[in-house]
Amino acid sequence: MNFITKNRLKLNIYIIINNLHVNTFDMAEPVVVIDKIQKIYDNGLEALKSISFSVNEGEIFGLIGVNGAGKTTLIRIITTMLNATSGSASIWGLDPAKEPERVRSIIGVLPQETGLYEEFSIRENLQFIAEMQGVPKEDIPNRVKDVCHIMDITDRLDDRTDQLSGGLKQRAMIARTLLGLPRILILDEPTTGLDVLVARRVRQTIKKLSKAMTIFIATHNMAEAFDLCDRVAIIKDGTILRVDTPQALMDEYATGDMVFEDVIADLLGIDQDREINISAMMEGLQ
Amino acid sequence: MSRNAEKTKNSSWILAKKELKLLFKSKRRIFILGITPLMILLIGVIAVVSAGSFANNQTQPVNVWVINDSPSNYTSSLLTLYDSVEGTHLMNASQSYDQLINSSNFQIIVYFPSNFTTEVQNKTAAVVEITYNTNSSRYYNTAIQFRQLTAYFEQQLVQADNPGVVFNRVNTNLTRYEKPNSGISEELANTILIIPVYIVFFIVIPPISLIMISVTIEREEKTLETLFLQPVSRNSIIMGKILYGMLLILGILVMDIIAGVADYLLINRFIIQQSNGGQSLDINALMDTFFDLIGVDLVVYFLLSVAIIATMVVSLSVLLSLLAKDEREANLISSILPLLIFSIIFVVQFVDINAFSNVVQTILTILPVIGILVAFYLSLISGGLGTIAIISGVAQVVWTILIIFFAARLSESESILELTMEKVWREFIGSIFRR
Repeated sequence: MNFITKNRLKLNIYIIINNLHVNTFDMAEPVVVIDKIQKIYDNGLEALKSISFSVNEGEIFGLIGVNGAGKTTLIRIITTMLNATSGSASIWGLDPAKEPERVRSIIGVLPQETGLYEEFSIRENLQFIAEMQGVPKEDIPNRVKDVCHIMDITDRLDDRTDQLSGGLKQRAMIARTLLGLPRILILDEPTTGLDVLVARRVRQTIKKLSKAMTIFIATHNMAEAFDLCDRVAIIKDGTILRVDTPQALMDEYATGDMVFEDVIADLLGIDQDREINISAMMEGLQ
Repeated sequence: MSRNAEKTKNSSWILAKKELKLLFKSKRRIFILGITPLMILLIGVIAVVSAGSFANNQTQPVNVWVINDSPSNYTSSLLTLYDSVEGTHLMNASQSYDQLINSSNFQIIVYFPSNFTTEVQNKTAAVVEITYNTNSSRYYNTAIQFRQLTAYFEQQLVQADNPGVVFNRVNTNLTRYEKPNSGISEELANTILIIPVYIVFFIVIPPISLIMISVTIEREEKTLETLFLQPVSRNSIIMGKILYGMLLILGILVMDIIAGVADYLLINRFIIQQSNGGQSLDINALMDTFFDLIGVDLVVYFLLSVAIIATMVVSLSVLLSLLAKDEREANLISSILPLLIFSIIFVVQFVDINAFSNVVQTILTILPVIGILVAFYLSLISGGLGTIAIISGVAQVVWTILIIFFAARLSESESILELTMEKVWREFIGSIFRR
């Protein structure tokens, strides 16, 4: 069974490399299950308030919320960096709190900030992570080549990381998350800080990758979420407000010339809060 | 649902290899690694350059009592050779050999037994007895030189009679004298204590900053999170850092030995051979004497102690680096740590620890790192390994295990990526009581 699964993933990687748009997933089976997760930090802050949702195999699932809503806390629980105060999570049938190493072996994580060894070349960075991921030594050169081909960075493989642009670093980081042939790719703000064209390129790659794996994205870029995600969960102050497809949300809430960003802002009450703040400020000035 | 989730094996070794590879990417880190062998080489060069002034600085000569029960040309030739050793003063003894030994009041005794000349003439093995007091390292240094000169004398004698033939003709019987039921003097113990102090200085201290930087840079460059996201346990990451530290110490040890050998060759060529008629320093004799002086058990104890100290300092560096916020803080801690160790060593050197009560001595010996030096010092004075040395050894092993355990526990802390000292401390204390 392991052999078949691993080879199916390899096959999917080759499908991506060769731009064959074939989806090999039987969508619907939940691979990430979040059940009444609550997180209270030592300082008493309740970052997550008993939230529940699930992510199906093969879908691109977006977690949308403003800064401080609880996105990174939830990602850290899924990626085994934090333990939940109560509730449970299941990643491909594994409990992150009980089997953290095994969970980490089936996920690929793109953290919010760059985490490459600046003095290494991209190749050295990727080789080290491939080793840490347990990729067999003889497979490492080809695996590095494959993921670099997917991210289109093959010609910069031997450049030192500190000489690369932000966009190239981000592509190298995504390439790194693919080395272990993950079942689930978890991306925390994948296009933040990138210029428009590079961000577009990254989004195109994410779409391609969705043919091979389940993708979980945390973002505050609404247009990106609308463009990429099959379903989104809207999170505010540690609570999930809604889980649905972007189109369903648009159909339900959009009026006039509203775009997805306006719908989400409405749902999160951002504009109302802002208007109240501005009014209060104006009164203060008078 | 199918899965193929596995932990990565040998992750500590993979991490240590990566650290070594990164080390050689930075000239600054290579310089830190190579500074001690360079210092050792420099010491050798300074010794060669200032050799002349050293020779003039010998103030107090070593008094050598000569008891000659077989006066002849052979013995007078040999005594002339002995007299050529700088800083020695040969005197004919008015007392017998046994009287001198019983009085303990001598530095070196050279004794030619009554059959010495006959044995030399008969071409059978003659023996000259050289007995030195363990009060000072200078006495055994002189005794070694006498033994070398005896070998030189024998060579000349044999070559004169039978060119090309080597056989036993004149032997030296080198005897170590120490007062019954006691170890070496405090003066000599202090001198010998310099050896482990130098070893700590030249081998264990230099990698502290490199180890600490290796963790804080990971935190600053956000690669620590990447490491923690790999399918390996945090314990194995900590073990990888400790392994890296141990490999650094091993590397520095090898480089220091090479520098030491280079120093020896320099000093032998430009100082010893020139002042000793072309004769080299007899390393074997020197080692024999050293082992004889402090005892094989203490030498083994000392070597084990160095290994324990190295492991402890490396683990402590990893633990402290987890607490350091950035490279600046890591550098600050790594400069304070050696100062702390050396200030305590200074106390060991200049305070009369031997006069303390057994309880105070035991407390001192169970202190981390320096405790083993105190135990080594006390063992030198008492003349062997006692209970106090064993207590100290066990305590050091326990300290090392505790430090590694603390570091592993700390790495499990949720705040490890965005930490403040208070936050980590609170979580750390909390985790001890929770589990």
